[in-house]
Amino acid sequence: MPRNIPMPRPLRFGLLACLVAIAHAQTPELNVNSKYIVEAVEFRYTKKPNVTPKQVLEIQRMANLEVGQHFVQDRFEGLVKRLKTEYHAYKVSHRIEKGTQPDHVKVIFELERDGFEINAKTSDLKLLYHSKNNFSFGTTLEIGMGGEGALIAGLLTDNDLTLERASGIRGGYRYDLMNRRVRLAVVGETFRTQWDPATRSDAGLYRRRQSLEPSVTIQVFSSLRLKAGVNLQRIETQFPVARFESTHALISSLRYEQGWELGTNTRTLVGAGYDLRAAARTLGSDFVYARHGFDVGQTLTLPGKQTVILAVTAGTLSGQAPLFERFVLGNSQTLRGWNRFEVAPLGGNRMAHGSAEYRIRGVRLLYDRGVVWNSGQPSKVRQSVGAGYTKAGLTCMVAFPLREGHTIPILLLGYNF
Amino acid sequence: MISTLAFCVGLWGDELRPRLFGDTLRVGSGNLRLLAGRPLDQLKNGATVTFDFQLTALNETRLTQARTAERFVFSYDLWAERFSVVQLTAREAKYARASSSNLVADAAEQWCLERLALSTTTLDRARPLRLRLEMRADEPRRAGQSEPPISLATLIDLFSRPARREQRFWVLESSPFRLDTLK
Repeated sequence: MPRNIPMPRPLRFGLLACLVAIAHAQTPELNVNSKYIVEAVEFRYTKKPNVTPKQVLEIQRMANLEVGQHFVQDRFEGLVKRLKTEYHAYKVSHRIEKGTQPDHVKVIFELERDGFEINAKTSDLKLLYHSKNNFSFGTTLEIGMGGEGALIAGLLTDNDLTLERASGIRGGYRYDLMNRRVRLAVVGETFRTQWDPATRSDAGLYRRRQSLEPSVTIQVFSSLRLKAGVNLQRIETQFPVARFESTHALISSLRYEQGWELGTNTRTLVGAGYDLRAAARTLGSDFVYARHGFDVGQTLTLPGKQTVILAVTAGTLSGQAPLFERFVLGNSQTLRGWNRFEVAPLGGNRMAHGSAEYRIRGVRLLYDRGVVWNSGQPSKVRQSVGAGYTKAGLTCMVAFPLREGHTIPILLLGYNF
Repeated sequence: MISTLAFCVGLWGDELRPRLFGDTLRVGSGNLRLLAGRPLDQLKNGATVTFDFQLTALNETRLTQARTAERFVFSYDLWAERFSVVQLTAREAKYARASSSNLVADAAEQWCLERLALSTTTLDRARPLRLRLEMRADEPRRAGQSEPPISLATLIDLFSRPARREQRFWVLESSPFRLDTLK
């Protein structure tokens, strides 16, 4: 009686491999170039895409895995699909060329900016709850027009940075030139204002303001940026009678930012800036003033997810300026344990502020010290301390004013403030 | 679109030469020119381009008497500078790819025509017939999609629908002939 004799395992695998090889030989590759070896993968951009280095590195890592392998069209088309997801405003194509060595090919990905691009910058999105001043919110969208131009659209209601609550919209257009070294922009804004009772007693309140700001920004060096333009504002006053007044100011700013690697996992970023807003009768302005602002800061990143942030700001204002130009302390950026209407309900024309912050793994400890006053009048330095936690841009913080007597902490909650 | 139409109209009426091999009708044409323009650019960029062919026998009233269809995938060897063609149409349960490589453009086109064979068993040999050849170029395959063997029924169904707007297509037609006069 015949008996089934089991086939040795190596022989079985060998037979299986032969069958696969025969099947493969009978089904020719669709692309004749699959017999060639990929020598290199190159990325060519018509304009530098707006993606983070991490995304670029990941895609290039995937592409580099193909170097030294046989060209397989499906795998590169998979990469095209991935690129189209990451570079959604770009037309992505790929082609292969002869390599420098015989029987080798180069794969070239070409990314060409194409069509509309809607870019919501998270750095412009701000959501804040302040236990004394309620909610503030603002965001700006940039809608790419297929080239270097983009429409700007935004909305905000802010009760944090100036004396008023300004609620309104902004819109405009920007255009980049010379490989993005020069940016031309014109932005229009219209706001309706609301006032805190502490401020409301003063003349100079307005119920609406509209502005138009054409400007040019030049990236002088990679670390130095210069902006110049004109800010044309019209404000509708409330007291003593409703009428329109103009605030036409020349604006300019110079900003320096430079980072250095100090060692493994240690780096520092230094920034400094100067802002000038100068309104004059020759510009058709009803207000005549000059506002100077200075700021210097350093961020030191240390091993163990530790960060130390030091910042100093100062400003002077001379002449007669509308309320939105006056300096304010006691908000989400300065004297965080204080309410700005308690510090100076009408703001001031002199200001100095410094803060120090230590972060470790999202936990924040901070100290603020600042003074805002009017020239020729007495000034009082105030201090506050705070603690909080930040994760993925979301922050919860409690800050206390340092003073004698009863203190009420300020609670700050929100995103990106 | 207009240029594509003009191109197609220009080809209409070009002579398609019928040839009889036993019970099989084949065609020849010296003027296909499929490998030009955008498909050629795609091929020279290293991509594959799929061409679908449909050969139809029509009677005097232009009613379909018989038809066949085939799918071919072209690629261009960057180093040899020659074309390669793989036939993808499945035949009943059996499926084996036919292919040819190291072809110049004309030879690659003619190889496809030679693979088109129309059975004459259902055709009336004494009545006038006309052959019509339709060809469509498809876009390069989408990412991750392997080219499956395609059935004759699927191909005929594809040709029953109008070509997509972005799809290039060609139509050639023969003069009227009778099977019993063909050699």
